[in-house]
Amino acid sequence: MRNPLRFTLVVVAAVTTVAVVRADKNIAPHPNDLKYPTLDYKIPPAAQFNEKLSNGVSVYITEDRMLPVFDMRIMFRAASAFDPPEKVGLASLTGEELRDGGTKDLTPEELDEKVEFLATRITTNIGETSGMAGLSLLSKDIDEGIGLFREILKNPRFDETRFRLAKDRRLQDVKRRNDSTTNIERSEFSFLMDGEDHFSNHYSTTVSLNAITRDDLIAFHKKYIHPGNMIVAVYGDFNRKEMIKKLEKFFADWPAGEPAPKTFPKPDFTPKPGVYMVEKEGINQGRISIGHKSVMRGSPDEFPLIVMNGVLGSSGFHSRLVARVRSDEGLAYNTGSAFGQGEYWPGDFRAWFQSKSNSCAYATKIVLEEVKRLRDEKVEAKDIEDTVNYFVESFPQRFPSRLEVVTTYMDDEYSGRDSAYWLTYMDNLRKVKADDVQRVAQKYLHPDQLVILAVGDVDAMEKGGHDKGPDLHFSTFGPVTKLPLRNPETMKR
Amino acid sequence: MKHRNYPLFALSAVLWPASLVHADATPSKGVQPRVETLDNGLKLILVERHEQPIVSACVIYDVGSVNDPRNESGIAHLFEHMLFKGSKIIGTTDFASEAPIIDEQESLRLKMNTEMDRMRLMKRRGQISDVLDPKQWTLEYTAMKKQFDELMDKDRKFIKNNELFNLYTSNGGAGLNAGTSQDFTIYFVPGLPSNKVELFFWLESDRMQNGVMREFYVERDNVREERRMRTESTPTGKLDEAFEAMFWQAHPYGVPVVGWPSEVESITAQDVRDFYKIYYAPNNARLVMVGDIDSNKVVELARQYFGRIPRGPMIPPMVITEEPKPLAERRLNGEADTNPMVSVRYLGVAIGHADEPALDVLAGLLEGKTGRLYKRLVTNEEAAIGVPRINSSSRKYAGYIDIEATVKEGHQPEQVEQMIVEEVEKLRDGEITDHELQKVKNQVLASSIQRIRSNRGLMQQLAVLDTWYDWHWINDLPEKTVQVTADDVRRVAKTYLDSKTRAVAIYRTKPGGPKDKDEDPELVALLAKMPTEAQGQIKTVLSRLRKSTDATKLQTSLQEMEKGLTAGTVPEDQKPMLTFMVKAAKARLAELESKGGSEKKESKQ
Repeated sequence: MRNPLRFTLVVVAAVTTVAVVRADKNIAPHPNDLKYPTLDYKIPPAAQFNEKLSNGVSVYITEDRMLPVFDMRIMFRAASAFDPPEKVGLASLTGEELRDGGTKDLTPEELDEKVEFLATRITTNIGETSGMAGLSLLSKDIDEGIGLFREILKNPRFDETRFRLAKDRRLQDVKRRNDSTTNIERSEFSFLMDGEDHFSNHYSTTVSLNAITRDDLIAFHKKYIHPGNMIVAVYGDFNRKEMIKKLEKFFADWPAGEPAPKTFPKPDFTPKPGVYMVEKEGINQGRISIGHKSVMRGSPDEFPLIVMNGVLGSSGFHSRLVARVRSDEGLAYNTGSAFGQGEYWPGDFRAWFQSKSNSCAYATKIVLEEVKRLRDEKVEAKDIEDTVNYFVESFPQRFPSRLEVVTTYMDDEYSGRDSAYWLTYMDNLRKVKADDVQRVAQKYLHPDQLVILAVGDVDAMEKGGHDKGPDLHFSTFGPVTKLPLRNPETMKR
Repeated sequence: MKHRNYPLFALSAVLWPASLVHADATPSKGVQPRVETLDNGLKLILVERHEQPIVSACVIYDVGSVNDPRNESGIAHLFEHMLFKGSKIIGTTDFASEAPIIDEQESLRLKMNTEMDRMRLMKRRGQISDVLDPKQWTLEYTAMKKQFDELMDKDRKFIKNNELFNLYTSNGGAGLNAGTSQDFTIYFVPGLPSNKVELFFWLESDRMQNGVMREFYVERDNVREERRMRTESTPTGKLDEAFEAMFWQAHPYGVPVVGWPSEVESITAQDVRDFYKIYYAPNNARLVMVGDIDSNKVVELARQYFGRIPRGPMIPPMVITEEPKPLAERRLNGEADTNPMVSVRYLGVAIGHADEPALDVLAGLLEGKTGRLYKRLVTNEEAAIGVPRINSSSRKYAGYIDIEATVKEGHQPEQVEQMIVEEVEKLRDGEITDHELQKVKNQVLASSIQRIRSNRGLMQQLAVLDTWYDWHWINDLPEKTVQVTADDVRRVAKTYLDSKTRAVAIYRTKPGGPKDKDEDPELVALLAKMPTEAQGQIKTVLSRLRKSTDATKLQTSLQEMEKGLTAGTVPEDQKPMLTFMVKAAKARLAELESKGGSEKKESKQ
């Protein structure tokens, strides 16, 4: 029954109730009543784009004449995984100095001048498991641009001065690794998951950077950056046949060396469950990561796992973590989860949020409840449907232009994923049912193995005191280990 | 030193709009959208592109933090959040039953505000230290808060959590987001499947007229967390904010978009309702779509869905405040966990000003690896690291030219500042070669095309440019820029880049990270002998001892430690460690005493 007294209160905030939605017979009363034309989106198969050059290099190529632009990407098998332990940072420095250090015929200054006058963008970098070079320019400058690109990759100068300046900058930057809690959280969580010994957790240090010489860069380049290690994608305003000819020329007189390994070592480490707290002074918001190891890519449960994690924390505001931690409780602007399916070694399951120090423990409790709930309760069919649709319906967005199509296929060839993967992607997701999600949750989520990492004001986080969970402390969730910050120059404690 | 949008999205820092260029690199007719205006004032800007079956779409409102009323900074941004909470139709199972609960919440909040005012007074008198600490609340406030939480629970029975998001995302509108800036607020879907365009019209026309202040106070807390995340917990967030506040003497560009914390935490649902009525009217908005659309059909849909919304009750007021010409040099000297940095900033011009193209060219001469600053600061003098960042920003009401560099170890930020100032001076009357001028123009032309490649990028630029000035600027600015001469550059350098009235921010590295202490070989050796689990705790305790500002407390700790040493309660093998800590405590105590206990006032209790 309505209490008549309420009506007097209503007057205060009249706008809410007074304005009435104007009915319109041409407009559906609710978006659920809208009818849409069908859209049968299919990504064209890789074979349509793929060509092999005479030297065996694989190329993914597509014309697009909408704008006078040209893009070229080259993935190559050079990686920081190949860094000698005493020279960590070598791959990354080599990647930077390819573009930065000039070419055989051009000093760095001359090269910069040519690149910037042409208004082209050339980038080179080498990451954990792959190297990438990119060229982007107006199609009128294709020939000159490709010419510079080839020189940069084939005949780098590795100029001494530029090399020294780049090293100086890195020596200064390593000292700043503890500046942001985001960095600290990322590296500590990775250490907790994969241990100190795995190469993905090797950091360049003051000592390792100082040990790297120009000769090391030259040797690294010689060993890894050659056509035998390359896959190419090209896109833009050109004729496909003519472009293939240009690419043949691009690789002419450039012998292939030894192919680099296509796999990388897996970590030999078992994470130790519990709570780990890292002190960063002067921070009023804790960063929390909660997780354990997950699986390799290509698991038979790949798609149920994508949907499971979608329900938990990766389908935007639809996901349970956002609904509870953010929308219901106002505890965090940013929360979510990822169930990483690693390409070369098992990925991580990680749920996260950032919240003011005194509500971190309370929000952690909510995350733990939601992880457990996926195992204990079957997800409602409607929820599954919405989550599946989240991924299926946004599939075309992955490919805003054909450039993304060819670079995706290049990437898949590099990492050894079946090129049919995307052709069946939507169907595979549509097959996932609530039973599958509960089954994989029980198989792959392990509440008893969770590692909880908290970075921030440790005392304040531990003290808790949120008005809805005043007695909640991190020790409730497991044994607490307090860790000091690492020395940023050595990454040791 | 960054100017922030909330949330930050990928709008380029220098908004160099775009024009189409033919293979011979001369500007052609450029971007030619279809433009229509409905009777109620809503402007449509539409570009058909049928390459992929997706559409980038937005509704942009001519409102931002510059329109925040006094005492209510952050309201434009908070309101943007609220428009994701649903409407009278979306997000609720039964609005008729829910509305009285929401109104009751609001009435209670008004009473809570009165009590909050009383607590603020208590804070000014020093009777309490934090009005947001539940333990310091008055009994009355605590009781009302409890009552409020009960009302929230009652409301939840009717709430369909995040229905707006779910409708979009289950229909392929992933990436749905919004951004509030100083001078626009944009709601966008980066890649809606092209068969779902009508959904956008349904939801966005509903958002424009039927918004409900549902779960307002929960969302206000989230916004507070957003501020903690972006501004307060980042190494330089608060200093960046302080620099903006210092740079803009009068213009509301100096107020943070996310709001000052004390004000955000006291905005009420009542406050935002007035804001909604004035600014969220069709005559203050633009709808932009780029992608796989049939523009005839889209115009039809716009008439059908938005045509039913009347014009707003008034013409939204413009910001009147003009930024006065700076009279004197202004400086901010801050310390943070960061590489040392220096930022030199001059007042520029608003978008569309006749001098904007020349200022853009001026910035182009300085930036990049072949720009004057990289050559001078990084390669010649080796006084800076990385490529200096130059930002020539012209927005709706005003603009600036900002030059920022990261200082190399062994150099003082002031030295780098001096070099920057010298290079700027050279632009006022030095030589500018044809080659460097042509290089900048080539870059302007190329970027005018690169920037319109993605549907999303083009959608955002058309939306923002038209809100600030006129969408034609996407074509006209590059055309005007290629006509800029060396004399133009020298003239604008003289007019705007006056070193005597520059604003400077200098960030120095905050002394004393954990690194400094670890370098002590004695400590490293001692720690190595301790159990691994204990090492962390020892370091933490040591760090506290060394930073203590409370001599009395420190004295007590010292006595306890000394007792541990003499009373034999500490195992023999751990004594050297404890002795080391005693030494550290004594050293800090001596330091405190030499400062005459001046730091003591800082610590409470």
